Amino acid sequence: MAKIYVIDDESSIRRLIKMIMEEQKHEVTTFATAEEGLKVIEKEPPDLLFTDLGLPEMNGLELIKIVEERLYSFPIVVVSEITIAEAIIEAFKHGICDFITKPFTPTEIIESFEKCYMSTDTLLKKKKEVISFVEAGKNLQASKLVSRLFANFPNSPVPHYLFALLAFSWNKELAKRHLKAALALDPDYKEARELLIKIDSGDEN
Amino acid sequence: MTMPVLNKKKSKGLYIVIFGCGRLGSGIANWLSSKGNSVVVVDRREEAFSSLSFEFTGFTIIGDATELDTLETAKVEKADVVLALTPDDNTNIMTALISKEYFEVPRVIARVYDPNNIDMFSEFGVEIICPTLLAVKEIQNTLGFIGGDEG
Repeated sequence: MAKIYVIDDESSIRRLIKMIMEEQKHEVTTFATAEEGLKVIEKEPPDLLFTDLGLPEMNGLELIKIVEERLYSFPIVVVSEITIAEAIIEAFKHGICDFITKPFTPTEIIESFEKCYMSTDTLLKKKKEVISFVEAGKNLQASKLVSRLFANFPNSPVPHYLFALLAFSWNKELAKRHLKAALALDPDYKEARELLIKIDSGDEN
Repeated sequence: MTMPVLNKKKSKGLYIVIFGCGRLGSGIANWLSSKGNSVVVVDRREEAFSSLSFEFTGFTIIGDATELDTLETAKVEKADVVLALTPDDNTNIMTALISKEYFEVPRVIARVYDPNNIDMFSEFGVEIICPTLLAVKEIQNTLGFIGGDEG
């Protein structure tokens, strides 16, 4: 049984996700605002969070950024009416595991949960692991992890950035190619742009 | 093909799209959502959704049931069941046929007011609910009972 939090300002959506996941024997707590959810997350983080993007006051993306900054490792699934590619990319860039558009089927919710929680292969978690491997000089482990991320998150710029980070010390041209691929997927990917500038300027530090 | 059964005991709910949020559509939507199904209700008029109960757990979409965009927004291609319950037979037949033929929804049920349209719906594998025929049968049963009692 997993502990799941749901943040959505529409009570019908909160109740629907709760009903679907409780049917699967999980413990579900719901919140109408990001602020309410964040207060409880600080005391007791969930095993997985479903959140809307369009929330009153603090929006879903701001919440996702806070979760990323505070290094929480639970997976986040966005459930939103928004279908704009930029918003979806931005959310993925900040480490969400999946994006479901409304209206959703019970199968979409359950499969997303299984993908994100059961595998525990969240992008955010793995990104931190890769960076720590690279910093420790454990390039083989980092390389294996990045290969898995390419397979699991083919549309995300993050695996390209991590591969560039890995290749930075031994093949700068290859690193540049992957950074350009990351920027093609997300032109606002700050970390990728900074690393590209660093390579172009010949700054080794 | 296995038909989804609405009241079957199951581990997860069905995805059901209902076109028309009148008295029948809203009543069915309220009942289906209370059973743990994910229900989408589509109507051209926003005020129609006021018939849904406070306990309704599902989605509402304002749109024309005969437009492909509306059906795509409602994710009809993922539906287990589609119910065409608008007050217009032509709208119901068009929505039901697109759902059945184009989106290959396993179970499509339509309301038909004019009994003369039943054959046309049935030819395409659409299940029919005809209030006129149901009323006729009910009256026949009642009269038959009275007649039998008196005879």
